[in-house]
This record gives sequence, C-alpha cells and structure tokens, in this order.
Amino acid sequence: MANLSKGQGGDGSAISKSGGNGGGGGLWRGVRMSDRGADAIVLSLSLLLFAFIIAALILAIK
Amino acid sequence: MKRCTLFLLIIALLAGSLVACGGTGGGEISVFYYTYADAYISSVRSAMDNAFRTSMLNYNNYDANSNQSTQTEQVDTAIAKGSKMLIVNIVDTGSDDASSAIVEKARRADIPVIFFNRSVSEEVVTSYDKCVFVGTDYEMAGHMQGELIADYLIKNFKSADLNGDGKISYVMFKGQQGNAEAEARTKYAVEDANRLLKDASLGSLVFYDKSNSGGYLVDQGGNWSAQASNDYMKTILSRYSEKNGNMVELVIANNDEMALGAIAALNEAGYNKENGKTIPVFGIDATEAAVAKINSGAMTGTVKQDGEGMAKAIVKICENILGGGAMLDGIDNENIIGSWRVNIPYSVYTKGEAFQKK
Amino acid sequence: MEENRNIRDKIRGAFHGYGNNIRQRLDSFRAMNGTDKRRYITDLLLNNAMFIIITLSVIIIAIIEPSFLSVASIVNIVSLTASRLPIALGIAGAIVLTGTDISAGRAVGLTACITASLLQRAGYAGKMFAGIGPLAIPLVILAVCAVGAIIGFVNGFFVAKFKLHPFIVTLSTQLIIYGIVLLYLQIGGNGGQTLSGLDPSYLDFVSGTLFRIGGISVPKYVLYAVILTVLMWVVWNKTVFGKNMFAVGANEEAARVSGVNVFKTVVGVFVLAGITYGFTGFIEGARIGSAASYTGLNYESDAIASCVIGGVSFVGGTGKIGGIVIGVLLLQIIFVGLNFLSVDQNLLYIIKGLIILLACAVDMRKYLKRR
Repeated sequence: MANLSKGQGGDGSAISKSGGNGGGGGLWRGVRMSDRGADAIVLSLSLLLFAFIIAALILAIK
Repeated sequence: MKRCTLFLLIIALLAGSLVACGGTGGGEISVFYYTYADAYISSVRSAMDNAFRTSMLNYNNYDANSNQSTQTEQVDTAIAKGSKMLIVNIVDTGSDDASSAIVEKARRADIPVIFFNRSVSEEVVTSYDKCVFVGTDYEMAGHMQGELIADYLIKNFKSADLNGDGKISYVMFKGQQGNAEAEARTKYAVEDANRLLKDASLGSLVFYDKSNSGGYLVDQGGNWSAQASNDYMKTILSRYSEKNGNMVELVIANNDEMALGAIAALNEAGYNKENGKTIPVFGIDATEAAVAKINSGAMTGTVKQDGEGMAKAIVKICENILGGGAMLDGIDNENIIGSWRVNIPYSVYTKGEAFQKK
Repeated sequence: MEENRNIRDKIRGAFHGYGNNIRQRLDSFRAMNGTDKRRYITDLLLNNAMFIIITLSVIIIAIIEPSFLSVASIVNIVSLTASRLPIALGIAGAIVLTGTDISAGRAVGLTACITASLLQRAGYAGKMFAGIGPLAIPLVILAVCAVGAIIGFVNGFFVAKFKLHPFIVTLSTQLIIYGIVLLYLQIGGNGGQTLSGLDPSYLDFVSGTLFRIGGISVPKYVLYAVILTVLMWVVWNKTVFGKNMFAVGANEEAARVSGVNVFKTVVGVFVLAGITYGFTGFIEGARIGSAASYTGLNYESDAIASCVIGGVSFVGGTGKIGGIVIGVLLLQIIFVGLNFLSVDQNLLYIIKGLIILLACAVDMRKYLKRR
C-alpha cells in the first residue's frame, strides 16, 4: 500500500540554507507570510483532508 | 593548429571505427526484460543466459525497471549499436502503442523481433514477417488454478468451510491492474472453480468482503509482491477471524510471491504451521519457495510456468533465424498457434495427500 | 531503602510538577486578554490539527465498525507500528540535521536480502549459499547492522565532507544500493529469485509469540522495537552526541564555532540511521517471509511522513522520540482504519499526500518568521 513515488513526503529541504539562523529556522526563512496567511493554509488543508477522509468513508459504506 | 588537426584526426578515426563496428555482423542479440525484480522473469533470464552461453551466442541484457519509455530508449540504443536480434519482454501490455513502435523500428532496421511472456496483440506481431511471440496461453493459468481449487474443495468442502455456512469465503490477490495475465487469472480462477463446484452441487466461492465489488485486492505498486499481500492479509486477519465467525477460508493469489506473503501473515496468526489449522492457499509460478511450502503443507497448490521451456524455445527460434532457416523449426507443433505464436504449456504442482478426501 | 524513597519522591515530584505546570498554564491562560486568548486557542487547534482530525476519524470509524477497537485490531495496529518504527527513528536523525535520507528503503531491502540469504533453511532447494547452514542469529544481526552502518557512513561522508545536499547524496546511494541488491540476488544458487525458505528459528525469533492478549498473539518484533526506541531516546537525550546533533541541526555555524565536531556528528547521525535500516531489514525478512529486489521499496516515504507528523521539524534542530512514535502510530491507525472499511485504494493515495502536506503546513506555521 505504501507505494508513493519518490520525492513526495520529505525532501522539503530543497530550499537551500545559508548560514545564520535569525528568528525562524533555516527551512522556512525564505517564506514570507502573515500570521493570517499561515493560519488560512493550515485550516484549509485540514478541512480538505477531513473532507476527503469523510468522503472515502461514505463511499466505502455505501 | 597542429593540436587541432591531431584532435580532429582522432575524432575521425573513432567515428570511422564506430560506423564500421555497427554495420557488419558483429551485432549482439539484445534481450529487453521488463524488470529484473520479477522472480519468474529472473528464472527465464537465468535459463536464457545459460542457453546463449552454451550455444556461444553474443548477447546483452537490458533492465527496463518497469518503465516503458526506458525500454523503448534501450531498443533505440541497441539498434543504433547494430543489434541483430531484439528479444523483448514488453513493459506496457495495456495498449499496442509501445509494441508497434518497437516493431516499426525493427522493420526499418530489418531486424527480427521476438516478443515473450508479456502479451502483445496478434495484429502487431503479424504485421511484421520477422516477428513472433513466445508466451503462454495466459488464460490457461487462470483456468488451471480454478480447476485445481475446485478439485481441492470438492474433496474437502466440509473441512474447508470453517463456519459451516455452505459458502467458501475467499481472498483474491491480484498482481497489478491493466495486465492481461492478472485480469485473466483473477477472473478464471474464481469462475472455473465456481462452475465446477456448482456441477458438484456444492456451495460457491464468495469474496470475503461484501463491500468490495471488484472481488480482488491489488498490489498498488504493480509488483505482484509478497509485501502487498502480507500487508493486506494482516489487516484482514485482525477483522475476519474464527472468533468472529467470518474467517477467510481460502486464499487465491495471481502468483506465488503474493501467496507467500499471505502465508507469512497466516503464520503470524497461528495458521498453516506444523500443528494447527491450515487455510488452503493457491498461487501460480511454482517457484522454489512455493514448491518447498507445498511440500511442507503450508501451501496447497500452484501452476508451473515453465521458465526454462520458454527460454529454450526463444533461443531455438534465435538460432533458426540467425541460421537462415524457418523461424519455428524444431518447436513442438502442439504449441504453435497460427504462424505467429508459440505457447509454452503450464502444469499443475501440488502434493498428492492434500487432495485425499479427509 | 534510601534509594527507594528517593525514587518515590522523584516520581511524586514529577507528578506534582506536571500538575503545577497545568495549573500554571491555566492561570496564565485566564490572565490573558481577549485577543491573546483567541490566539492561544487558534494556535492550540491548528498546531494539533493532525491529531484532531485523526482522532475524529478514528472515532467515526469505530462507530461504523466497532470491531476496529477489538483486541485483534489493536494488536494488529501495534505490530504494524512496531515494524515501521525503527526506520522512522533512523530517518528522524537525518531530518533533525535539516536533511533527508531517501536511500532508507533500498537499504532495508539490501539488508533484508542479506539476512534472508544467511538464514535460509538447510536443505532448501534454491538456497543461495548451498554449502552452509543458517548462521547464528546474533552474528547475522551484527553483520547487517554493519552493512547499514557502511551505507550510513557513505551517506554521511559525502554530506559532511563535500557539503552536498543530503537529498542528492541519498538519491545517488539509493540507486547504487538497488544495483547492489540486484547483483546480490544473482549470487550462488539463487539466480535472481526471491529469497525464501527461511529457517524456522529465524522466523520464530522475529514473529514468534511474545505473549498473548485475549487469545491474540503479540509478535516478538514489538519488543525489539520498544528496546530500540528506548535506546534512541537515550542517545538523543542523554548523550553528548545527541546534543551535538540538535546543535548542528539548529545552526551549523554556531555549533561549529562552539567546538562541536560537525563532520563527526553528521557522519554519526547517518551511520546511526544506517544501523536502524539494517535492523529493519533483519525484521522485515522474517515478517514478510521472503526478501526480493522490491523489498523496502518506498519505505522512506512513510517514515518521513511519520516524522513530520510527529513534530520532527524540517527546520531542523528539533524533535522528540515520543513524537516520532506517535507519528508512526497515527499514520498506521488512519490507514488500517480506512482499510478496515475497504475504502477505495486510490483515495488512500490522495489522503496520504494531504496528510503530508498538512504536516508540512503545520510545521511551517510553527516556525516561520512572523512579519
């Protein structure tokens, strides 16, 4: 079942890290986003995921 | 300036020698396998390598790693290198595009093509006179497995029907989607078994999971692998058990690998061991591992694909073509279909005692 | 006697401390004004979005199909988690260093094949090394862990010495290892076949019954996973090496300037990961009952997903062993649960992808530079 193609789930470190840290950590340094923006993304992804799970369950029970 | 001319001279020499090499009879026999990872194909490969070596033929193997574009590129490269024979285990069996493309390239280079094992349609093979297909009547495997299962169940129905509901609840493991062999095996194993059971006035096979309309569990990675069936079987056993009165009573797999994966899961749950209940498990291929398990009683039956027979037939055809003779000289007439195909027959493998009436 | 009292006091102190902690947090929460409260709750909800969704889904699944919570089902989930845990623990180290390790799956495959070839039953028809009987199990464990360590060393060396990105290095080693697996399977009497006919003592050592709960047997590899988890916890939290790992992951320059041997640390982390892959390969061979060239394929994707879910952030320098265990567990629960209800397999791919995306988004939200 666990046969995703390579490259999914884990190579987020494609964004290169230049020395020094500064308040946010290397990986997401280049990301400029407001609080609201980040909240919106997490919220919408959560709802999307939940919707898919419920859809899958409904289709299965039918 | 002098260095330039020297450089150009060397390039010219190299190019010249390459062209010379390519053109004349120094060509190799190029064999393209759909993947090195397949156990049955590996057995064909070992046998073919041996046969080529014995006949002292110059050959080269290529691994497409289950990727059709890789294989087509390998064919291109081989033809450019001056191959004199293409033996192709096509990756993409779902459509004719890949196989007809290869036939076209071969026709343009006037090189014979032998397709083997993975099915190629009749139109494509007959479209080129220097083309032949060596395979198995792949539907036979499914039919034989179905008959084997019916044979076993007719003799052992009562003991196989664990919850006594008059039906045999089964799991079907399919090797991959869109593969003619997998489709045929999945379909006929159950169809034939049910037909024969009905003739004997016995109950029929029912898929263990009512909500699964397809009637099979497929290896998502398309690898016909033990890993996939093991994963599935573990979860199935945690829900369908004797305690719940809905235990799986029969396991059918498109190949031995998947049968073995299921057996490992059954073992973990305490079945199919020396002492304890045995759930009948059927596979196809008759690999060493399966034969050993059948002999020890952990597995019930399998259908043998003759890897060596296939390799021998292919090499014989090779020799015929290279020697200028008729393509299918020396091949058993029984196995020849029309003038385009050779089918290597299957045989059943099982231990006699399993089939005695209990 | 004295020691017993000390231990009792310590435990009591820990509980009190925990209780105090909660009380403190409640007090400071009440002390916050409106907007701060809202922010706090939003943070709480969004940071734990994954857990909330999975918990809800599990509850729904359990309502639809109560046998999902049966002993058999729980033991199944626990044993699946135990089989996926070692590799996640190894990869987590690479992620803490802000890298990744996509050679993990193939490494498991190679070590599984080596294990299987050394532990085949005597007298088995297609045995690879026909002359010798099955070797001693501890010897084989050491051998494959050594192979894993070598793979880890190669990975770590190229990352540390040439400052190459772990993604590229492990991508290359992944291919090299696959080639080695294919070659290895050709050795001796095997000829490219799947390695099978494993010795019963090996099978029993891995999948034999540890103990029974309500008639269901728990396999031994659950115990091995627990032991490995404890070991990793000690390494991560109680050794200088562990502290160095977090330091290098958080800020390599700062760590170097503070006197940490960055080279040794990076290599060490990958070697440790390699050892866990070797161990996983040892377990998988017996668990599945055979080893082939496709064994281990794509194992790293589940492992990495579990780590991210479990809080091992991609920004590096942070992560908890407990989080990893929970991450693996959650991933298994949701998929066993969905399989329980025979959900369409194709949807599972979409769901897994969304889970990973969500895990990354939550991670990003926690650590990005606030404007």
